[in-house]
Amino acid sequence: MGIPFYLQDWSSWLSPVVLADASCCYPLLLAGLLGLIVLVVVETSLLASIVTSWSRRPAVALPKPEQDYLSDPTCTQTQEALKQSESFNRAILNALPDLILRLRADGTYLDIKPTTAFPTYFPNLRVGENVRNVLPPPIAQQRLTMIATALQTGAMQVYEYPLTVQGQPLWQEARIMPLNAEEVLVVVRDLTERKRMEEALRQSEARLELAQQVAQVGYWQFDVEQGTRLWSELTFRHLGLDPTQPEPSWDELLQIVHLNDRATLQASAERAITNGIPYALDIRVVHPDGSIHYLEARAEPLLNAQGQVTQLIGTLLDITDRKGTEAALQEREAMLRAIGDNLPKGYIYQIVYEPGKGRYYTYLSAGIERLLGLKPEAVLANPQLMRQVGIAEDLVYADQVVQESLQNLTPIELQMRNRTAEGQIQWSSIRSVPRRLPDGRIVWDGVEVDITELKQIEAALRTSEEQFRRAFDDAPIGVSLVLPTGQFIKMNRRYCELIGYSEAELLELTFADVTHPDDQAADLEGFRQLLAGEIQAFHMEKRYITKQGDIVPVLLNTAMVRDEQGQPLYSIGHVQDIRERRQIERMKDEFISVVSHELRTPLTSIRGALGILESGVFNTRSDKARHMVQIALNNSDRLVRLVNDILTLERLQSGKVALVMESCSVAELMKQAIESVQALADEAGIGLVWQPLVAQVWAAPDLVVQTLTNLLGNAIKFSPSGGSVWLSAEIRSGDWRTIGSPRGTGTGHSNLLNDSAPLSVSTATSWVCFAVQDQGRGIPDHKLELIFEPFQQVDVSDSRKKGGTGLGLAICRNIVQQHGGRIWVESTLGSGSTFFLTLPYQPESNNGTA
Amino acid sequence: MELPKRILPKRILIVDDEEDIRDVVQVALEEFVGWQTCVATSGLEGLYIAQQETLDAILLDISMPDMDGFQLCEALQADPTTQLIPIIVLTANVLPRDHRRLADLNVAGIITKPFNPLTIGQQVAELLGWTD
Repeated sequence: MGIPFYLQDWSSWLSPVVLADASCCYPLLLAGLLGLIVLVVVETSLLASIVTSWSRRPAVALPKPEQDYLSDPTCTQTQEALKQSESFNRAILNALPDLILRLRADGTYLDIKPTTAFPTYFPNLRVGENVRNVLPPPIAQQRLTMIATALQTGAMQVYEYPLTVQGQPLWQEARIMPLNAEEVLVVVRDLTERKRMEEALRQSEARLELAQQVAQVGYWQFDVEQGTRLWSELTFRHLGLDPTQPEPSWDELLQIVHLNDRATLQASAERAITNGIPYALDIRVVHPDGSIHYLEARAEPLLNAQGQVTQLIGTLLDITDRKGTEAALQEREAMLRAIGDNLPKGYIYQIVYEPGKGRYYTYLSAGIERLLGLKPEAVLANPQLMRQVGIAEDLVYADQVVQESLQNLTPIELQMRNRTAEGQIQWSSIRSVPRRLPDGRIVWDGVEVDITELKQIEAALRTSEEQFRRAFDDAPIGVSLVLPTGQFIKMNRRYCELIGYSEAELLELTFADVTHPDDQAADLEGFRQLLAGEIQAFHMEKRYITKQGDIVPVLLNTAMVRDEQGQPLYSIGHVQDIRERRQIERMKDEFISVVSHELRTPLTSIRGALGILESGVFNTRSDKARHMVQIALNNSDRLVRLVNDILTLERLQSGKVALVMESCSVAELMKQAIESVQALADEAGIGLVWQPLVAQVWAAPDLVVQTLTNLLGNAIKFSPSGGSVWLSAEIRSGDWRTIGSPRGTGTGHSNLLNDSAPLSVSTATSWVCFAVQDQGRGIPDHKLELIFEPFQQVDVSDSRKKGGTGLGLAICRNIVQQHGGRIWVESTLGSGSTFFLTLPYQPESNNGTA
Repeated sequence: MELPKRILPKRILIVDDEEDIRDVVQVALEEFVGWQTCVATSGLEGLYIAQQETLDAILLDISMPDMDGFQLCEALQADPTTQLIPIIVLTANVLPRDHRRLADLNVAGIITKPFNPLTIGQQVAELLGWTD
């Protein structure tokens, strides 16, 4: 069997090299979908001519065309034309990328037209071989089936199939056309690249769709010439429309757009269509549910060769969230600025630390000028300005804090002082939080506010608290705070002293624990009424029992401290020790009682004597009557003396007697006193012995004479007839408390007189000490102090016999004390007593100067 | 003046450290009710006399040195020979606090100073139920 001419030609075209490299060339054949379509169109007509040409041939033994053509001398012109036609067909065939095969019905290859653009994958592919030995079994089977179908139906069978050759996935398309009853033409086309492209396109479209979905970009096309619209689903959705409905008209679309944005869109769309100007607008649309959405609408005109707009292609992006974010951001910035600029005496700032560049401000709100008198722009330009207003020592600390913040990113929180333009100290509170930027810079966003007033209030509060604490702690009365449970929560020093417990001990107790059992009921009841709000304050005289078991009478004043809701917090109690007051009250009562008694005693005699006289019972007994008159008279005198003395004492004690002090001669005072008792002494047969001291004292002379007279009078009254009374004076130095040492006790009078020479002493602590010495019966030790109290005579009746009122020594003591001196007595029972009194000594040099 | 009721003859001890008062009381009791009187100038003297003499009553001052009226009262009541003698306190202590202590004494009565010399005898008699 000979090889058909054109197959021989094919053989010569296909050099082995070309065959081997064919796989590199076939992608060139497929340039796109359009190209495929064109190919298919060309191929179909070509195949038709091939089929026609082959169909005319005998089924088995093909004649040699050359011979046929050449041996026909009658058709030279026709032959030439045919030759040209065949040549053309061959060129086309050769240009086809497809593998073209002629097969017998049983699958035997009869002709093979290889192609430069089609790889030969199957090494067994050659004429005479069967598809069963060439193709993988499933492909071969399918091929045979399809051949059979084509032969039976006479219709072209087209099918695609995947196969793997040398590990490569391939797609091929086979077209099987019956040539005659026994043969078919098989055109095999490689679809691998097309399939790959299709897949890539599909994936690309999917990605685009996905990207659009993700980016929420709606896509639309508007065909200007036809007036049609093509919208993506998201375009519908962004406009609040149903994607399953057809695209709305332009007018309908405009209705969706917010009224305020319609004109802009309309104008932009017209410009785009008319002038080919693209647009990008932010517009608002109103969804059917009434919600307003911001859309970013973009359109790009497509122009034809004449420069006319044929289409608008555009996108819609829902930027409602972004608009919201933008608005929020703007709002926040405005807010921050407003806060910063309106901080009352304060400002906000941002400082950046940049490695190698140091720290600098990047933002300062306007308040810095009000606070520190520095303009923000000036500080931004020169941060060192800030150091000029800071107080040096505070800057040192601030630098430490900033340094630490820089190293550890710890928040800055400090208070520091600045000096204002007026030179005042201003206190600032500075707070900021550092954060590290990705580029290594550190940023502090902070605020500095004025706390001068706060500091002043703090200081005032501290002072106030200190004052309160001192007032509380050092109060002369006991103060305690007690919970509604009765437990102590706080008490001052005085309270602890009063009750005898330590603070720690009291904190373990309730007030009832330290209250006298007999007073507990009343105290608890008062406390209950306080708690219940029935009374505002509670007063009570109660008794505490000290830790030592002593009973301490106190005056308790207590009130309840409540919170804003009126709930009792604690009670505050003021406790006054009334032992002293009680003592004074007792003494007052005692005094009144004694005075009453002392006044009534002479009155009793007077009243009795006069009553008896008046009855006339002694009308005839004149001696008896005279005795009664005498009683009345004596007691009247005594009453007068008593009243006078009481008044004198009261005036002295209450300070109503103004002492007219002057420089007095001691000798003169002594002389006057002696003279005033001389008659009394003479009458009693008592000798007065005195030795004048030449010295001056600062004293009220009358009162000193009265005192000396009183002492001398007592000495005379209580001395036995024939005895002596001594009056002496000397200058002594030192504290009068030590002067009063019992030097005279039991030593007799001579001792004093012998020592009476003036002493050389320092003036500041020098005294003139007077001494009145008698030879009386003496005073028992337990009465030595008592006799200076009112109505505390050693012997009441004896005193009265001597005309005493019981107030003389009390008056003397008051007078001496008011001179800043002291009076005391030293005595030996049976031998006599010596009364001493001291007055401030006035040295010669000071005479008359005071 | 209203005539006193008939008063029986009695013997009274007057204890007071005030001489003038003793004199006045003596005169009043002797002259106006005709009683016999004896006097003591101190508590100790009063106790002695009370133990020695036969007495119908004792008029007792309170404020006295050494042994005062309270002490004498206790001593008299402690002594069987004197405990039955009625005691009337005659005192210038007239304040309530004085009387609280007096109330503790088992005495027949209290007469305060100053007293009316014309009626003191009558007062004593009434306190002691010596009137008909």
